[in-house]
Amino acid sequence: MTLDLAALFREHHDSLVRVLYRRTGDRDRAEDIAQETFARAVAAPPRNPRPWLFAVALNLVREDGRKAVRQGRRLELYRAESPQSSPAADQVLERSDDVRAVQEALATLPERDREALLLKAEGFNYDEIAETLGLAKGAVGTTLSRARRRLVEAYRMQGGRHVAS
Amino acid sequence: MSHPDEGTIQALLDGELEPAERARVETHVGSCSACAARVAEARAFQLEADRLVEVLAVPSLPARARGASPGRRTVVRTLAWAASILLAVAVGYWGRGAEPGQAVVLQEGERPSGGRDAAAPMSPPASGSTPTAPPPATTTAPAPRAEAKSADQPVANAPRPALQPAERDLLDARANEVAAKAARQVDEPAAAWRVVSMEEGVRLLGGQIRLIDGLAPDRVETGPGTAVSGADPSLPLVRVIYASGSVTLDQQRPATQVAARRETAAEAATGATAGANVTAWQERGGIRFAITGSVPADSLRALGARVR
Repeated sequence: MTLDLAALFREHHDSLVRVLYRRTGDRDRAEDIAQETFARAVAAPPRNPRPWLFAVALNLVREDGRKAVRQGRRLELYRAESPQSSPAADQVLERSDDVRAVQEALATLPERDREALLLKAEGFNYDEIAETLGLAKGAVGTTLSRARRRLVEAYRMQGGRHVAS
Repeated sequence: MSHPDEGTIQALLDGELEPAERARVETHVGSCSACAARVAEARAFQLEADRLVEVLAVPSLPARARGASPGRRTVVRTLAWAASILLAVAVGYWGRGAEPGQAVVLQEGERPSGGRDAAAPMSPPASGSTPTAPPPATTTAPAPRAEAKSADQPVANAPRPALQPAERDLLDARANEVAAKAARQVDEPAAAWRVVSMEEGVRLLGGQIRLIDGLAPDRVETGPGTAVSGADPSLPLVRVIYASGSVTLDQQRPATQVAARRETAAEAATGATAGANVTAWQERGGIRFAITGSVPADSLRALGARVR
C-alpha cells in the first residue's frame, strides 16, 4: 500500500498540530509529535488515516507525558508569538492570560473528555471520535456534554472572563 | 417517549442523531419545557466551550518551519525521529497491521498504556417533568454534522482556509523530508545490522550473552548503539531475535560498571519510543538490556523476568 505523504501532510498536518498544541500547550512538542506520527504512517500506511493519525499522536502525547512526569519536566503552557507577528504588548499579555486560563481549565478535564473535545473542535464526527479514542459511539455524546460543561465550569472557577464572541 | 438523556441531547445539538430519532427527540423537546431547558443549557455550554477551545490558537510556525537553520535540538530530534522509524521497521511491528500502536516504557507496577478506560456510561433519562409550554424554536434545531456545517451554526469550527502557495510548498518540503528519511531507513535496514554467530556476539558484547529462558533464539545480530533509543551510542549492540523478529532482546556491556549503576532504568529508557512495546533498559550482572516486542505489555514484562 502506497502513501501519498504530501497529500496526507496537506490534509492533516495543521489540524494535527493544532490538536497536539491544545493538548500539550507546547508548540514545539506538538510539531515533534506530529512529525513522529507522520513518520509512523510512512512505515505502515493506515487504511483510515485521520482517526489513525490522531490516535497515534494522542498515544504519543500520553506516553510522553508519563515520561515527563517521571523526569520532573515542567510542561510549557504557553510560548509567546514571535515579535514579527505579535500584536501590541498589552494585547499579548491579555491573550496570554486567557490562553493560560483556558489551558488550565482544560487540564482539569479527564484525559478522554479533553481529547474528545479537541477532536470535536477539529470537525470530527462521533464515529471518528469513537474510533480515535476507542470509545463506544453511544458514549461520545455523553463524553462531549460532560467535557464541555466541565471546561466551562473550570474556567469560571478560575475567574476567567467570558470570551467575547 | 421518555426524556432524552444527556448524550442524546448533545448528539441532537451536534447533528449526530439519525433522522427518525432526531424527529422523536425534537417532538418531545417541543412539548417538554424541562427538556427544552436542558437543551438550551447544553447549547450554552457548547457555545462557550467551543469558544474557549478556539482561544488556543497555535502560535506562529516555529523558526525551523520559516526556513531558519535548524538548531541542535532540531537535529537531535530529527535523528531520534529517524531512529524511531528504523526501530519500527526493524521490529516488524507496524507491518503487521494498521492498529494504532503505542510505545510503552514498562516499569514495575505501571499500567500498560494499551488499555483504555471503559466507555462512559450514558446518563439515565430524566423523569418527572410535565410538558407545560413549547420551547424556543432555536433549542430544537440540531447543529449540522461536521462535514456539512451551515453558516448560521454558531458552534461550528471555522473552515480551514486554503493553503497559500508558500505554506503548501513548506508542507510539501517537510513531507518530502519525512518520506526521504523513512525511505532511506526502509531501504537500508540491513546496513545497520548483521547476523553474527553466538561466539562473535559474546566477543562483541564483552561477556556472556543474555537469553530469555525457555525461548529458542532465531539468530543473533549486531548493530550500532545509535540504532536503538536508550542504548549507549558509543557501544555496539547485540540483539538476540526470537519468534521471527516479534521479540528482540537488545544488550550492551557498559564501559564501566560504575556508570551503569548510576544510570537508572527509567533514565535510560526515555528515548525508547518506536511503536512496539519496549521495556525499560535495565542492568543485570553487568549487562544492560531491553526487550522490544509486538506482544502485550504484561507478556513483555514476564519475558523480562526470564532473562538469564
